Amino acid sequence: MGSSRPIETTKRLPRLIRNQVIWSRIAKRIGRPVAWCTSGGPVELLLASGIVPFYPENHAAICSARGIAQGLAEKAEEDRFSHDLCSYFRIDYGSFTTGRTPLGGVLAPDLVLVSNNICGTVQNWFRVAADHFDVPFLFLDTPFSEEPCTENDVAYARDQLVHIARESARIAGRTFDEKRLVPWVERARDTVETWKEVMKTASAKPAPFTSFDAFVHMAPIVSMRGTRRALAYYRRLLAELRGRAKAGIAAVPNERARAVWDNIAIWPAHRELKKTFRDAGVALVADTYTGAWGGVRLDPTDPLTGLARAYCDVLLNHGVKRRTQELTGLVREYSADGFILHSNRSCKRYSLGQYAVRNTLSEATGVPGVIVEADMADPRSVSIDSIRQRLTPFFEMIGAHS
Amino acid sequence: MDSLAIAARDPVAALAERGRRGPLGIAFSSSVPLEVLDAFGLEAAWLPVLPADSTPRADGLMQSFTCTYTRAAADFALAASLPVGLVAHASGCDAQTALQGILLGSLPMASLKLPIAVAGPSATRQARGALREMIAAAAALLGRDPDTAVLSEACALRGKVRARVTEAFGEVAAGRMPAVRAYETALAAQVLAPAAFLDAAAAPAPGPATSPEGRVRVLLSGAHVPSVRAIEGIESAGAAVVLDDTETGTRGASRRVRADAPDILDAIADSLVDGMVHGPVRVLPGRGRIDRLIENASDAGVGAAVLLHHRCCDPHAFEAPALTDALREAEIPSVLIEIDRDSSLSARDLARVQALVESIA
Ligand code: SF4
Ligand code: SF4
Repeated sequence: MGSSRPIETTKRLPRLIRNQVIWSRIAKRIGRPVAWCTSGGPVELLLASGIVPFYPENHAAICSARGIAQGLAEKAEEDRFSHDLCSYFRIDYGSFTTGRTPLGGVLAPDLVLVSNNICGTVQNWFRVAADHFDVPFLFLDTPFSEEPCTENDVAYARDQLVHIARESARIAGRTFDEKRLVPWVERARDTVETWKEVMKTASAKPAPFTSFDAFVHMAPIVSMRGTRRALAYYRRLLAELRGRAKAGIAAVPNERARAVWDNIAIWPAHRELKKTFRDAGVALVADTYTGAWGGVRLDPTDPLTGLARAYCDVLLNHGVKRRTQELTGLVREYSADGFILHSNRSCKRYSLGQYAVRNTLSEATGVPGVIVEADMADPRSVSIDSIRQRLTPFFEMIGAHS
Repeated sequence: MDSLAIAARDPVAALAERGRRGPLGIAFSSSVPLEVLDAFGLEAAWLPVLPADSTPRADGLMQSFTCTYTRAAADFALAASLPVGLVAHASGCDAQTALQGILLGSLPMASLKLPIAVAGPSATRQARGALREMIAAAAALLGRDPDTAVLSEACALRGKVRARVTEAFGEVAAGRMPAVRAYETALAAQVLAPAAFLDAAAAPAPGPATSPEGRVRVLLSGAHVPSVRAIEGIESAGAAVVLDDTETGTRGASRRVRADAPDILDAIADSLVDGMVHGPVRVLPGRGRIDRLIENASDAGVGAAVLLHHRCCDPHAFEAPALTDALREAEIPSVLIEIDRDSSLSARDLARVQALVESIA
């Protein structure tokens, strides 16, 4: 049980993001290079060279949340990109080829930095973007593995990081200096740690924070990791959430059941889903998507090797075994009554293997799970009615009312 | 029909026959070196697209947005009817990469973590380390090490198999062999034992070589050719496939292992990085792949291109617009055919190939 009121710190988020966008534009205007970077890209190397990062995946999510995704995706399809390709790519492609964006103009890159530690899509997506803008393409190839990454994998990634660091410094008109990397890595590590603590507050009963909040609050950990602003923001958020946990302020009034989520949020149905869960008294207490950023372990004592290890080790660079372990940990740590696997037709890397995960996870935790079919961004592949049809019996099963 | 044609047209029977001789070593990708599976004493084969009206076993493990190749291959491996000693796959597209985790509980899986970026010395080092890791994993599963003497022999024999497939496509380009025969050769090479394949391929090809004269010379690009019937379909529409850019055909057969290398495992690993023609799954510097393809198409006097893609195959789908644009610039019109469960072309797809051919003729 517990009362509910909005999280105060949330009010600061739009300004934080707006300032970041404004700062990126000013930086570009005064000659600082802009890099388009994947969410799992080693952004610390860019920041250490004074390069401004921009995240097309975040941008696509914003387009989807603002309701302009379909038109942009259709532009990609008109240009003969298959409808089966990741919708983030199709949306972003539609945006950079038409100039339509909710951010007031496309921030053209001077280079792109890609890591395939999240999927095989991004290497193709960013190649298309690099060709479109005729800019250099820097790539960090992180060997995917079911098992923990080996020293061979780490050495391979480190070699590439050295190349990326030198190349990005050269593009910025600087020389790479590993020492300059240390404060960025330290701050990124502190931000990741603080984000982890933020998410842990949802283990309190009732949960003062849910994954629906985390989906929104994750923007700075992805796009501003390593900056003072992001760290200060999460420290404030953490303090508020700890206070709410102590005072028993619930994110979901009359919390009756708790669930864990796997995969990216369903942006076109974000509000409706949040309401569906709230009405049913189900708190979505943890998820693997925003949780992935809490799992990145950075080591400032040997920054390049530490980054190599951290970027090889991200959740999506591992398969079913690791995901099952992660979800089992979340179900137990957050005392969840069930789990929801979002089978996201856009994201093969995240979704393939979920059938195996469902069975093993249920066996390991003894709680039921459900698979919902949707897409994280393309409204044409999202039906709130069919999602509700899957959730209703599941909610009943875990003791909630819908 | 000779044994190559029979094996190509009924790969399941060919695999069943091999399964009677011993446990199969199944590769899900041309990037798995079959010689290593041979050296473990397995009946090694690289699975082609297997005919599958339905894939119930795989459907229980993977979503419908997994390409048919992967679903059909997984379904075959999961069928209890054949003895499977080992399934090996290599990192590549997301569907292939995910396989180990998906099948782990059901099958003995070994994974080859090949670099996706295939240029430079660090990629080579990664491949060498990854190959040794895969061998160690396979040895642990099988309870034995690979036989090093067998490995050298197998390496030479498999090299001859790939050379023979490459030669067949060379003969097609020169008008001395029908394309259908070259694809039969390539598909048979995937499933037959190397010695049996080489014996069969040494015999003269049955039937006369049909000349591409009078037909539109076509480039065929894609991942896995679904069947010989698909080629027959394309050719029945008035096209003559004279240039191949598929994993089944020239790409899969392009790998060359240096015979004089001091370390055979290093040589095999190197061949997987810089000793083969890569498809769009791997990252190459610049636009190397498309430029090379256009150059080859112009050299071969190609008049049109057929892009034969599997539904939900991301690497090829990403490449398609840039490839078709580059072809158009080179005045080579193209048609993209997307195939799903069907192993031959639908009437609609045939009509599209025919329209392409007629627009040129
Ligand atoms: S949604 Fe999935 S496929 Fe698309 S960019 Fe993100 S990780 Fe890659
Ligand atoms: S390359 Fe394409 S067709 Fe081949 S396994 Fe991957 S997704 Fe399937």
